[in-house]
Amino acid sequence: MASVQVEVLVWNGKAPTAGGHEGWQAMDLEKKLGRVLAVEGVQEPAVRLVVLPPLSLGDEPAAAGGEPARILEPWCDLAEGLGVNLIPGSSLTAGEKGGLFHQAPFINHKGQVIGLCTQTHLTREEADRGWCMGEELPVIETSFGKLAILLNRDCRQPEVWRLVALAGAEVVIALTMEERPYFQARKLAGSWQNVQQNQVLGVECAYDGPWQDKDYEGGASLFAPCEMTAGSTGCLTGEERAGFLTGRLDRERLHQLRTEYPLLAQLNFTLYEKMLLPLYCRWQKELEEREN
Amino acid sequence: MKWAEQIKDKLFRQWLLWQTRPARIDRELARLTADTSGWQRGREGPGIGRPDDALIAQTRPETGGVVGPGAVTGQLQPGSPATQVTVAAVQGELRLVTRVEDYVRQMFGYTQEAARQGAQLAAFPEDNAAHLLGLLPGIGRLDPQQDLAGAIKNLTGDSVAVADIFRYLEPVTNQVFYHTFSRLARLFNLYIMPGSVIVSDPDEPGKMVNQACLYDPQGQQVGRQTKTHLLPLEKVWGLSCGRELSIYPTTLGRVAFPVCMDASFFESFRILSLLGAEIIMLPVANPEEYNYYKALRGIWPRVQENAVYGVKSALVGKAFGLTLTGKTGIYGPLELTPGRDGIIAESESYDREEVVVAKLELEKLRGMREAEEHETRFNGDLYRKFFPRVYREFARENPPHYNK
Repeated sequence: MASVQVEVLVWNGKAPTAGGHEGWQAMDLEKKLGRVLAVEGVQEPAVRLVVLPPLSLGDEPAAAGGEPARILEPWCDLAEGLGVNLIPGSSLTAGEKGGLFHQAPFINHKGQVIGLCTQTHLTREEADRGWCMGEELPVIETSFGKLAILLNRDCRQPEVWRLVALAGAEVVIALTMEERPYFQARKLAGSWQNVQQNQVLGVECAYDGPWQDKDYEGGASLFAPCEMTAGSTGCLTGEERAGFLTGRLDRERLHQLRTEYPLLAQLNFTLYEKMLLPLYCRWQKELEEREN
Repeated sequence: MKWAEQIKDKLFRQWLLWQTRPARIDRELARLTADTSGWQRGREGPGIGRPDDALIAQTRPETGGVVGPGAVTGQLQPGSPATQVTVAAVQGELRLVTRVEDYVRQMFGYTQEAARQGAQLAAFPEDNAAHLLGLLPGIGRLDPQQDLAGAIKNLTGDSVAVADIFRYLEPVTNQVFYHTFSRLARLFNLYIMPGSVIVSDPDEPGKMVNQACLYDPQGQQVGRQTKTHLLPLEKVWGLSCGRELSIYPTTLGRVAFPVCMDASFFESFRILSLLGAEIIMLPVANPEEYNYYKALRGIWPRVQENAVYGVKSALVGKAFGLTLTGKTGIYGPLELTPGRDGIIAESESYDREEVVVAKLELEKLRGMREAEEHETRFNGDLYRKFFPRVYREFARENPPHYNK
């Protein structure tokens, strides 16, 4: 049975190798996490989830085949050693038919990779760099409920949030890359409002620093439906510990809210099937015509 | 004796129809246009509350009508896309009326203020004819501390649903609401979205729906929109939801007007945006205590997702055990707003009547949308693969509102 509460530790600082391209090393994380977990008086939770920002696994594309798994080996060892669930950021992987896929793995507390999520919406710039859109949106069964990981543009795409929410996601991890300045209104227009319109718990972890020719900004945030938060702000309060934002996600309270007010049960599927899906098709056809 | 009750009901409704006849509405409008003190009597500022002289001159009290075009400037020729549009959003107060003149005067006042500030389009709140429930003599005996459905049940037993009350009053509501706003649109030479009313579903006899509409400056009704997502409360009332969303091309741009809860979900605005909507009006009546963040969950994020302008009109006040709150506002994409906060103009209060007016830069909006077209926004293959399946699976487990 899935745990009802999970403690999350979300990196809330600069990208460790901002400007470089090496990403994090598993031993860096081990040292940092060691400091966090050693804090006196920290109650031992049943389940912990550690989240690192996008590109923490580096931006050097891994070749298709066995290489991505090899890259993840030290991270799996770390997750198992510390007994934590781990999302070690993301990396780029070469597709078997060419092109690059931006992907983030989920490693459970036994050190097993039990899910791999791919970015499904691209900016024009990313497409021009040779990135490809993912064709799947997995919802991962974890020991603390169903979880989805969204990357970059997907974090702003309400279609993606809706798809994973309807597929059962309770916790959505948004690994964002937002160009500077990333101010409050942009944050509200992104993960915050998507958490609200899907009644899910949200964890945002941003890449902060320069990468290629752009400067990115952001930090860590924990979101929940307004009804679950103090002052109805939709933001969960967390605590800073050695560069990590820590806080608790309460699935039991989420389920209680969904029972009291089943927001998604108000959706009008007949309308969407009749109007929205054909409009997407029309949009795509027009795009193809323009590009040809 | 049932037939005797039915005759009594019919006779009473005939009496109400007589009490609210168009001639009385026209007479009140004529009186108001001639009365230079107007709605905002006592407020300071040049010209406030003074109807345009040209409009007064065109009023024909004896026929109860207003003829000819108004004098509001800035009207565009058909076919030329507007580059700037001034819009007004009314934060209206729900006041139960016992005389039709009271309702007409309240709506006239809001429209007059919108026109005075140069609006070419005015938007009103949801349930903007609920005021007329005050015409029913028994309404005063309802328990004010109880919700409408509960209070009616207490008064009448289980036999009467809230939808039955709206159904009974519908001919009166239609007569007053449509006639008043048709006249106001002509009188002030404005497009008016007068908010929504609860009416019979034209497609499914016997069902009641929450429906908004649009008048052009000639007073012609040029569009209707049924609410497509209902509040649970409305389901309790016995309402049904709509199954289509529409946009309406006007000389001011392409407009749409979904209703309240429709803005809680991205799908509605996405449909309208893909259909080409530029200005989306949203009449709301929110039955809860005001909270900034909860209130932010409607039109504001929808505007950001879709690069459209949003105009929200809120009904405020207390009635039937409900406290209605909300800030009326005019919103735009972050990049097109002065504070980069998505807010062009917003009411100061969340519980008092106000009229908010702002200018929309449609040319800039179109430029922004054109630039966005070069971005890859959607993943059609992904949607085709997953949306129908997850929709159907979720619907099977959680039947949509109208199927329950």
